[in-house]
Amino acid sequence: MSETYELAVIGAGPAGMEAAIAASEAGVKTVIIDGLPREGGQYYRKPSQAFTASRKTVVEKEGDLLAERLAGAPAVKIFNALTWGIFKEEKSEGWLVGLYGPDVPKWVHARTLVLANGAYDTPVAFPGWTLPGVITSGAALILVKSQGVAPGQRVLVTGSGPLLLSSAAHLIEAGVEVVGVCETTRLFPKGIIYAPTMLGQLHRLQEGMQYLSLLLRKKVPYRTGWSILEVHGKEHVEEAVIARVDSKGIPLAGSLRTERVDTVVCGFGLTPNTGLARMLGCRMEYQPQKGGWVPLRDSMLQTSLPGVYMAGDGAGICGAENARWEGRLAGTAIALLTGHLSNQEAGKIIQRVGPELARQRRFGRLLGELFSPNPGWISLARDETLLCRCEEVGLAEVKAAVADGARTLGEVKMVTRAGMGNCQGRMCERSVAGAIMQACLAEGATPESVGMYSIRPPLHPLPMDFLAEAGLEE
Amino acid sequence: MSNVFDVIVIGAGYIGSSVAYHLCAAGLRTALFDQGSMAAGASRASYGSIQIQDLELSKSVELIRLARTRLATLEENLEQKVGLRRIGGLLLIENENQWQMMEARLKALHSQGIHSELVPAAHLREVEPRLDTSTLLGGLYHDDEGQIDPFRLIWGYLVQARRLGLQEFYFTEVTGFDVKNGRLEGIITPHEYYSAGRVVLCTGAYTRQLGRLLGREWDIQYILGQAMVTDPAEPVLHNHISSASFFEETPADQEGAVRVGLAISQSIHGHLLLGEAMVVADTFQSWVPNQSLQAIAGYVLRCFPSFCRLRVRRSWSAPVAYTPDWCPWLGPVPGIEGLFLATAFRSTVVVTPLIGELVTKLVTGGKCDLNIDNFLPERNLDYAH
Amino acid sequence: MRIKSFGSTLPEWQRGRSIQIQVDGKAIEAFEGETVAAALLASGIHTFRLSRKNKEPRGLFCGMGICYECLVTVNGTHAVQACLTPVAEGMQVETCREWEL
Repeated sequence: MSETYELAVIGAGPAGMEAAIAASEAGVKTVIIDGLPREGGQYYRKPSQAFTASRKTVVEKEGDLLAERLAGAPAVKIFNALTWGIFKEEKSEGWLVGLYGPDVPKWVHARTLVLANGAYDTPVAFPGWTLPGVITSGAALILVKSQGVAPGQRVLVTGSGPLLLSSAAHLIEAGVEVVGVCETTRLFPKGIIYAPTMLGQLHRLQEGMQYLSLLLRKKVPYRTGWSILEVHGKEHVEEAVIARVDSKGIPLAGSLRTERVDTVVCGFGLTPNTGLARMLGCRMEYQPQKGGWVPLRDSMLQTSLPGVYMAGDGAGICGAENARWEGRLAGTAIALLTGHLSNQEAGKIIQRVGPELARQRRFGRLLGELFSPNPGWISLARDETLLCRCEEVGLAEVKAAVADGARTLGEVKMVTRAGMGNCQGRMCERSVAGAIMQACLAEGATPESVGMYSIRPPLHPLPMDFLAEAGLEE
Repeated sequence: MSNVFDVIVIGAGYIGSSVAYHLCAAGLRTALFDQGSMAAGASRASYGSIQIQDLELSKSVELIRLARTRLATLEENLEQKVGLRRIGGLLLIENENQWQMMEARLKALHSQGIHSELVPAAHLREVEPRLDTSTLLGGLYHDDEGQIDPFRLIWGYLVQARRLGLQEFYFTEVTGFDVKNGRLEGIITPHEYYSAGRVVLCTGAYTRQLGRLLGREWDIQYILGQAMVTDPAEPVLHNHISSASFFEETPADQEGAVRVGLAISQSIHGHLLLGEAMVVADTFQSWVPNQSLQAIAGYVLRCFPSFCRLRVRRSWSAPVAYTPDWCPWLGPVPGIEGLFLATAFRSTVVVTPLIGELVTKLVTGGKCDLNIDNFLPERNLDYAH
Repeated sequence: MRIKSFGSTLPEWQRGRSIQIQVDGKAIEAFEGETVAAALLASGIHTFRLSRKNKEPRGLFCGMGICYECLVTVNGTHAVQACLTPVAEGMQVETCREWEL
């Protein structure tokens, strides 16, 4: 008999953990679900329990405290469980969550949902990006921080945003030779305007200065206004070509540099993981400074679907601290909705959370404006560059579809098969949309007119025998 | 861009895109409207199968026969490759009743010059090697069915039609018709008025709500058809597989009940298309209920146990329309001069090229190569209590 | 390569016990708690599969299970994401194995 809860929290990162703690401690019957073996998400990602820590950083200790609070909260925890679909319950008001994993229940009923699916590195296509050795900054950090493995020996770090410095610093500390960091955004003079906001985030400034000073000490060149141009190699990365770029991110002629490397770490910002929200039919809006398409939410973080809330980077990029405050707000909102907290009690919590969230959002806006995905990045792709890695569809094919009259992602997908692969378009949506907009610039194509890929269950490919047996246990 | 057209086509699926193309090719100033994108309705859920075995025998034989001849020259005429290829078709027989029905059907098909073969269970694997025949009595087999790529076909028509001047309006809902003294003058959308003396509805499940805009209650129903697609595999399926249960009478379903039939094909790219579940509903829904996924997977694995580890990538649901006698509506709407219907086809893929041609003749007052009396809407259009 | 000394911005971990896995028929050292991807990379194996159409080498990309590039065959099961799969004693990993139904 599948269990019924008042709340299912999908994702056990900073936002999910806070939501589960806030709701369950208020008395809401809560389950928290994650595909990883342990809580933490990406930000507080821990290695397996088979590893033992001999020293932890500030972030790890923070993560430990949060994990302890979750362990002590009365929420049920289900790990190693991939949420592949959420279906509206016919008989009740709630939702049926489909899970896939070893030794996990196949279904979970929940009256309300908090989706806290986090984010993933924004994929940017450039010649050679599919070669083994080109990895995201997320992949580099996971390898180095929770697996104790360096991705390579000579690394170029490229992209845009605060994660670049962090990735480079972590790689240096892992004993890797970092040949350079290429930040495509020119930080000055734009960055100076935001100095006051930065002062309100002193600990982050300090962090950033720490990373920068490490790079200086190790004489690692940090170039702003430079980007990866192309990567060469037969079976694996062998060399990377970088170039100076203009304010749109478009490479400038005559400024090339070739670096012999075996790894290229790409960090072009983050994209919210909105698959579940879109599959459910939540109304979305395009907000570039939040990472692209994000769900519409009210002040209590409820989406356009009653009973479905979203918190954290999965609803718009704003960092781990914001995620935690949003999680707490969403959990409190659910506790109020389900009658476990009175208006007064909830009001008190919201009074505390409100100003913190406002502060985080100001910082998030700063980051968003400085490091918003640059529409010019599509210029890095050439005609033969693959945009859809799964189905191996190149820029040329997308342009041909547009030349034949395609104007939306849906049409390009139908005609070229881009977005029909395993990843359900996560890796190519932005690039294909960018290519369509660039080809239709004169017609004034916008992200709204180009649209999104439609997402359908299963969210992850599932074997037939699993689906055949996934009946409801009566 | 002017808002005046000779003909307006509503519905950008198989039929609508073919009609739009043929109208443009005949030199008519044509516009195509859809409340969604191209192929937003039943066409999106199609396998692209060209079947002969599910042929409706009392009225549709000539239609299908003529339609097949148009298919043969389609790619040449359209100057587009649409993935047209020949595959066989196999109707699986699971019980005595179905066996007798298929025997009768075999004779009926023969009398129409269509030569199928009744294959006993012991020989089924010669036709379809991976099939588990342990629960089957046999199958009705026809070696000359076919398959196209649904999106390539619709896109092919649209690309050529654009070159001939087609104007397209997607994500545009028709909110009204302008009828004066029994004559159609144009259509109304949320922001604009478009004038045309002739309008063709190729709107499938959406036809009923368009009829209501005219104050009519048309008797066209729909069910939600559901299917799913897998990872690509090496060529493992040689035929389109369906079940003889398709022909069995079943009691009317309650709303929400899931009925499962069998429809399995392998696409030209190697993906297996697995279906089909049917759900009675009164709202359109684009995602698949979990019971449908389970039911389809279960049925497929009973027939093909070796597919057990094949991974399902995506599922979908689309509304499929039908009229009271399961035959299409093709012809003028009585009482409204200039309004035509071309919808609710049972074997849509095979008739798509032909219908575009026939509708063009209807709309321009030309002579059809086919007697379409059986399909005129006036026979059962309005909902009778 | 496996990290030998951890700088101050990194947490310092002791790996789990040493185990052996088979990769394309060869015995490879790994540590309990590592993912298949990490163990492969640490052994200098970067190509996990060949792309279906163009037969191009592919390996780890996102590291967190959403890009589906790091697919390997594990104990006969096809299309297993190496970045999400923990190693186990005696595990049989095959890279670039073309799958047949």
